[in-house]
Amino acid sequence: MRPRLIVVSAAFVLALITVLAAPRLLRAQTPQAPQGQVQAGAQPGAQPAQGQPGEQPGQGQRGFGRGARGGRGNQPQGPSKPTPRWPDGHPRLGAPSEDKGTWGSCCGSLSNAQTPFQDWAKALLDYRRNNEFEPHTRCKPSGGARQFVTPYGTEFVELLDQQKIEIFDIGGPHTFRTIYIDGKPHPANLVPSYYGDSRGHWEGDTLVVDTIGFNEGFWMDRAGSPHTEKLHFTEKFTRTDYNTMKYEVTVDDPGAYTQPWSNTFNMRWSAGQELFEYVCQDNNFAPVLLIGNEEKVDRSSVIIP
Amino acid sequence: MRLKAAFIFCLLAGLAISVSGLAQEGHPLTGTWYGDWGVGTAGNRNHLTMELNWDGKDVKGLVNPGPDSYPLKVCTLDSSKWTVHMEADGKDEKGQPAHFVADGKLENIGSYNRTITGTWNFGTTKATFKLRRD
Repeated sequence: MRPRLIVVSAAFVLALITVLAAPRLLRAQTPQAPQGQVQAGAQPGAQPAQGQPGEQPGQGQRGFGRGARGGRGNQPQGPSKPTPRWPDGHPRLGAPSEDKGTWGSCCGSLSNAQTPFQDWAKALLDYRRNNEFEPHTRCKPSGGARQFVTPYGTEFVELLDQQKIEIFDIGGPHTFRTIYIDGKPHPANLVPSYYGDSRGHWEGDTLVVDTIGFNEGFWMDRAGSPHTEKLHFTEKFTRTDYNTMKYEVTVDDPGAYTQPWSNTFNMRWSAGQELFEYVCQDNNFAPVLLIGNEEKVDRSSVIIP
Repeated sequence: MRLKAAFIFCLLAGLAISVSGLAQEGHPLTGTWYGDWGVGTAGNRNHLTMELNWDGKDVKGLVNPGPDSYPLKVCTLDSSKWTVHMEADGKDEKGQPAHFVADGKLENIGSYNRTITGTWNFGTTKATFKLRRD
């Protein structure tokens, strides 16, 4: 009788240990969200990236699955290498030829409690926070800082001979933005578009990008900060070391805000990752963000806007 | 017959895609709105089209664009309640000059096809209106 009791007790203890240890073991096998994807500037009221449309809502917060906040490559360990440079001395914003990698997503909400909203814009932001119908979830391109909150991050490809830089969204609409660095001004009579017209130039180690000509068909950040066609976006990209890209953005939109405002974030290098095929329409896990939940589906239009 | 049906389907699909591509998410009133105003039933309704545009400070508007169009004198949005107030010197259903005062509620704001419904009054006549953003 006693040996049997010992065996049963041992089995019970073993089972208990297994149950208690399993979550830790599972966590150790799951890629963790890169630290650099949380805003570095600690702006008041600023929020980290939320769930990524095109993925299951809330996935970003929970941080499970590969690349929940962008980037499914290896997260850099230890001290960073120095900023890689082109022969002319300019920082390389993408991967050096002997390496590969992408940038993880950076910024959930550009705006915060201090943002100088016009009344309607603040009211609309509040509405959007409770009623998410973001065009990005319908696979529409998203300009402004929203480009850097797509699933799996972005890849910078510098085409110096053509004097332009392409920024590819890996997830989401899987499209790209062109930054012209040929010194030419914005064209006159721009047709409004999702990414607008971007012109860049170097100020020391910082690429300064000026963008106008946006349409109003997207949210410019994950939180839904409103904008109008008057939006003028100024971005500063500074690769402070191999693994970190400082991203400063100034929003000037007299249609939605009472004065220009700025915010700063960091993007984190995701080593080893390359652009891969991503089809937004396939297996879209965000139906709630498309048409609402089962209790409240928007059926006002046969057209999904 | 099948070819014709396929052609019509493709045409409609193309139209749907092109219209959806124009979706805008900026100021909630900006856009073209269609609907009607009048007293009571469908037989007494009058067609109504409005072109509204937010210029950064004010909402400018044109009622029934075309030869009989007239501008809105006032168009304001109270975003705390999502209510809209409009005034215009236009014409009534008999073509006589009339000053309209309309007050409505903006609803379904997250939808491309959001709506405004409310009262549309001129003189002693109390009417209603409904508009749907197209």
